[in-house]
Amino acid sequence: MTATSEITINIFHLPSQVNIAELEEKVICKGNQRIHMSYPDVTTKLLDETAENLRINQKSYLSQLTVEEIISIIDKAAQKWTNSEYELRILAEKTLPIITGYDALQISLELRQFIRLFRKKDLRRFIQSEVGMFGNILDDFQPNHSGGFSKFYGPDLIFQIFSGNVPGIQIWNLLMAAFVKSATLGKLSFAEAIMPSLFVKSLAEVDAKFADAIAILPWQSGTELENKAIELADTVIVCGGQSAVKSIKEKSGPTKKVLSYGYKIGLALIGQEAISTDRYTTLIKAVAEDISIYDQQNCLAPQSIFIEKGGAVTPKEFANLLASELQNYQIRYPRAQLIEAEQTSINKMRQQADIESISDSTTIAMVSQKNTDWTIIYRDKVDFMVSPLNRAINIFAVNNLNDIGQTLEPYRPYLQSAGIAVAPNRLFEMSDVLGSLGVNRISALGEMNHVVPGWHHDGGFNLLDLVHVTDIEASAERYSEQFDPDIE
Amino acid sequence: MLLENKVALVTGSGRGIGAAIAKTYAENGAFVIVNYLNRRNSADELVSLIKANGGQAIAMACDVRDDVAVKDMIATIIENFGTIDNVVNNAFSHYEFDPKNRKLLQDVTWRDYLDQIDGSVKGIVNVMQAVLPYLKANNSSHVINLTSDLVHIPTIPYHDYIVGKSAVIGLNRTMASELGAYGIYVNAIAPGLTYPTSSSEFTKRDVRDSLIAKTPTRRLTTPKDVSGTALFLASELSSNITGQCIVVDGGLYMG
Repeated sequence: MTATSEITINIFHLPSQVNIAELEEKVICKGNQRIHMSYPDVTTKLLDETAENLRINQKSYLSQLTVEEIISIIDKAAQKWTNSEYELRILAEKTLPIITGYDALQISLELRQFIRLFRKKDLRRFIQSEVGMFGNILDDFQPNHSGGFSKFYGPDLIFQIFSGNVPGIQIWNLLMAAFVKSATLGKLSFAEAIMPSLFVKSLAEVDAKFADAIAILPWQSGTELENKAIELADTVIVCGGQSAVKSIKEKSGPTKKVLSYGYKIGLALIGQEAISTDRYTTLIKAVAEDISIYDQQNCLAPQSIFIEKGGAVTPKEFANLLASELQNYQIRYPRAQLIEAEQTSINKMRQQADIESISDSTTIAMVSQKNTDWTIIYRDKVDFMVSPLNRAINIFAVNNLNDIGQTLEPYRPYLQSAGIAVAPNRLFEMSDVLGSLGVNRISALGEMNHVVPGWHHDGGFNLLDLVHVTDIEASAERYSEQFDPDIE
Repeated sequence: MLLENKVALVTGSGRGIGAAIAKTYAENGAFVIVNYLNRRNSADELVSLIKANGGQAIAMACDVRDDVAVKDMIATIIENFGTIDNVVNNAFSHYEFDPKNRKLLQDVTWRDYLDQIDGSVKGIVNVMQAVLPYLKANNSSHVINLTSDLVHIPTIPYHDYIVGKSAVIGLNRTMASELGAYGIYVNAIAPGLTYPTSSSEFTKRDVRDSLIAKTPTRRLTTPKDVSGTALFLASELSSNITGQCIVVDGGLYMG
């Protein structure tokens, strides 16, 4: 028998001025490994004290930094994570597979790719594409096109509710707040509180005063603490499921600014020209990756795939090939263990397909045997369906990709990413159709789970949506010249 | 049981190696289609024997060189059993293995070559084209092609026969290459002289003894030796093995 390995990890961060007397603990066990996650008992009093200090630290330090300086701090923290010997990376790689259930190797590969979005060159590209002027407009008044000057201001304090479905994804929103020089009071999900906590720790190692404008704490949802945090903050950002988003919006009332990143649906489109004898095997691999990475928990992943007839392999053969590849993925990167409700929704999807196939033999369920590891429901018609996720996918064989617009219409508010494999002359035409239906991100197959620096999260402007603009109009500038005592 | 609930088609299994494979598959839980060309009696006898031992089998006549007949046979199998999981391409055109009276190179006609290519390769092509849609739809299917160790070590140079069986090895590899992505595993078995079978009746004792003398295990191959390997290649025991040719000849040829 091997000895039990014990790891203790803090899943919170507070400004250095806030002292905590004692910590509570949540223990997660898997096999012979035990992870003790420590966090303070969150009370409205603690939130008050924290918010007060965050505001002071934002004003005295964060708001005084230039965007370039902020980029530099984040870059230094991200660079630490590119080193395989970095103790916090080692800790993350040890604990995340146990906490989230995702395959260890997959987490490691994905984290390495994700963290690289926060290197200086990537962040500079992001800032330039989002606000232009290398972000200087967040530092000082800059000349604008109407003859005056403008400066962008972020809120002083943002309350953020982070989701827990994908490791590290919270860091993105956390840093968006930092770019607009806002302090963050963040509510972590117990489902994944580790990665944001560790990354903020890295930020603190680089610049403790910068990290003093960040507080992240886990607590159970639906308590009075949310009301308190909303009250304390100037702006609220909420990530999560439909009900979480709805509840926070209601609690925030009509005057508080709320940005939400909720339930989204991805889809994939494959043109018959892409299914050539020399290309189809690489397509299969790419699609399997889009489905398997983080088990579709990322809102970027596909839930339905449209395959055009007329390629070298039929859509049905494509589905057969995908079935084999998903089985291969199961061997290489096993899917996370599911809770009963998740298993049930996959079984429901399978049963529904079985019932459907009685009246329509073209509907075929291709499923992993004796378990819910992967599921493909193949239909020979134009339709669209959502998936219960966790490596369950709908495939629709269509005569022409141009025919799918109508079926997507009802899902307009939820459409987000589309992975697309078509020839160049169709790319813009198809993208225009998808764009007009609300799809806001079009990527290659195999890249659906990997956003690029400068992407518009849910089709919005990450930074611009957070700021307010103050304009010095040309008249004010000219007017002030009159009052220059040195000019005669 | 290794092949529980699997549907297996064994071509040319009225007798010899094919019959041994059919019997072994049935013993391991497969429902076996015993395909034969002319010898209805021996196919029926085999089916009766399998059933008497508690197995499941059915005999179906079909010339695998005839693509229309093959399509009919596969359609009947699908209609009755819903799927096919394992295919053993064992049938080949009649050949006189007679070391004393074999044709020398200058006497072998192009017709002789074509007969062997038809029997060995066309039979496989016909069967595969007819079953592919069903094999592709399964999560895991196994195809086994019978060739011969004579391809590697032509102790008796049966030109036409060996040409046909050599082509099987090429086709075995190209099929494995294209079908692997569907979870279809394609492998070959190359038995040495298999005794006793009707094909080996003219291979007299002198030749048999000289082969035995060169064989590390000091014996000829039996149909049961071959059926064991065929069982391995049809089961999950051989998972992730494809495009291979396993020589079952007591080590006469070591590749």
